[in-house]
Amino acid sequence: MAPLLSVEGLVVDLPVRGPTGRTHHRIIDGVSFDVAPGEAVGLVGESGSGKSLTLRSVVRLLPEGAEVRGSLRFADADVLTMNRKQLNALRSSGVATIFQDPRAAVNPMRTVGDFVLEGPVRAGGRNRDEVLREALGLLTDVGIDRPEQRLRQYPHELSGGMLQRIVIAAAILSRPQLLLADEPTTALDVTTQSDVIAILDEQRHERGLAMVFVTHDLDLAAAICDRTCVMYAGRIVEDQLSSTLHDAPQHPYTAALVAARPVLDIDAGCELPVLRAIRGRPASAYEAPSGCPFEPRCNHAEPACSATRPPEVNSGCSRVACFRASELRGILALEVETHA
Amino acid sequence: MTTTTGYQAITLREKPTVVHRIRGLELGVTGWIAVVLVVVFTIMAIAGPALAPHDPYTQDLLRANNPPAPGYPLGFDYEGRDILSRVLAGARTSLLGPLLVVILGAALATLLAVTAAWARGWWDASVNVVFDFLLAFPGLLLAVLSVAVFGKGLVAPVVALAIAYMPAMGRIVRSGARSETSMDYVTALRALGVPARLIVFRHLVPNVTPLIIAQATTLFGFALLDLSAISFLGLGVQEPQPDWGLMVNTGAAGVLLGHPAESLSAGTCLALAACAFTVLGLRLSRRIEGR
Repeated sequence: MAPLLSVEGLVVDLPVRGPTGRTHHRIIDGVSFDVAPGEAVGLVGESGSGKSLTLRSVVRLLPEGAEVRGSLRFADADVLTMNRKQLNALRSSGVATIFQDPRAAVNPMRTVGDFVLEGPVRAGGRNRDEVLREALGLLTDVGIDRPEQRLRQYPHELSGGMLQRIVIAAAILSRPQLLLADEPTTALDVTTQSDVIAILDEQRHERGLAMVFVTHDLDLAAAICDRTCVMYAGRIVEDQLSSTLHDAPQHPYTAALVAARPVLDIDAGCELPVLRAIRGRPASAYEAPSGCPFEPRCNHAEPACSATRPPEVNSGCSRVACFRASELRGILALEVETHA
Repeated sequence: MTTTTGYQAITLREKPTVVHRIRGLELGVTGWIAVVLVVVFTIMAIAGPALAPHDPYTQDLLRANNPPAPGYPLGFDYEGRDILSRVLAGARTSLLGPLLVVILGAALATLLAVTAAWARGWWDASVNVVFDFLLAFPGLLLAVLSVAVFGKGLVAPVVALAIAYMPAMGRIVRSGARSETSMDYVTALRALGVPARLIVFRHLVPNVTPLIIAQATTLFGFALLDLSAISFLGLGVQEPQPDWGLMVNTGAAGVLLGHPAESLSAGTCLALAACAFTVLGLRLSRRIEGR
């Protein structure tokens, strides 16, 4: 099947005002991935790995002065060459974005109803009453009681979890084919996180929407995404089925991330498990060494790793960018296993 | 079909009650005195001519500069007209001018400042240069100049003052709109595909409106004094139209004859109105900054 979204060799440079005038910092360095209709792809990685920026590139919501290269196609239309009108059409009906903090993403001076109707009515040009009726039904679906009253309230009168459900409903209301979710639960209370995720997952499946889901949380990505892309220093180092990522990581970075998760083991008594942190500090694309960007922090690095960039190698339904991927497979699986 | 009609009556706004809104302002005693004065002057401006006990234009030269008489509590001016009636009727001309200045200035400032904050780049830079350039001109000088070019009357000074006051308001609105554009909700609206024009005029402008109102209230006080000064100099409102600035001037003859009522009453009204609007404006700005 032809992919719904196809990203190829995406490079994003952001302007930086330095002591020697304006320069550019490379944040995304050659990202490629496809999203099939109805498929959910997770983008995971540490802060600064470029996952949010990759997501925003899809609808070209980039900071001013950003330079983008590569190819970005949504439903066979080239996003990077779209004019303003085509771009607004893409944003209002093709792709819907859900942001991290619902409190910041809704105009605090307007009612929730204004926010929900704004996109479809103002940008999509649909009939207001019709949209309103659909919105009330959707709000009930995402678990909002008394939706009519909620629409009349202001954002500060609602809880973060409730507001995020409304944001999700508003995103679905625009009848998109692709959802972009930028850490939609990070700003929420832990107990509401699972509710919101469940609703997002349910709505997505019901409507057959594709999704790109950005998160720090490997387990979360594994739970709701068909495929997971692990990003490091502005590149995708591993792209695998979520179902096998945890048990059979192919990149040392993925293995280290999996091993670094805190595990609550009741049987172990009150002794807290030691967190296995990855040594060093995450690098951004522009400060990464010329070889494998993860080489300085990698436990399995060899002299050859620092010489050239490892190419992305496809094998079956996975893809990995590591010179030693094939020889390390067993070792990495063991590393993850001893942890669990 | 019953559900269809059921949903149509929904209104999306539940207005906070007036009492709540007023309490939320937290203006303090001085602020409330200013509010009362502003309300009084507003009523005078609207109903002043109707409240006047006598016709403010009827001359009676036999009673010129006469002291107060029954039914004429403030006495008569140099042409024998009732001073109280002229003060009341003058409220409209005196306050209408500054109102026009503020509305025109605010509209221009908002348009330039908000679009500059949104577009950035060369448009922002040009708007800033224009603001800086205009700030260098004293408003009164510009108003007097415009009278010299376009002739006496209220129109030329009002337009000149509106332009002169624009940068003061524009700079504040621009910085407010600028911080507003960097908020996530603006990004979210862009992600919804809402066109820039709608984001600017349906979201940015309403959200900086409190700033505009506070600033406009302060500038109203300044504009009142400047326009009165122009009328006092004989360049603005012309006789026989009643105007406070003009009355301070024409009453000068009465001061020498021991009847200072005309200059004093018009001057007091001016001073009180200018203070009230300025104080209220400053209170409102302080309240907004503290938000």
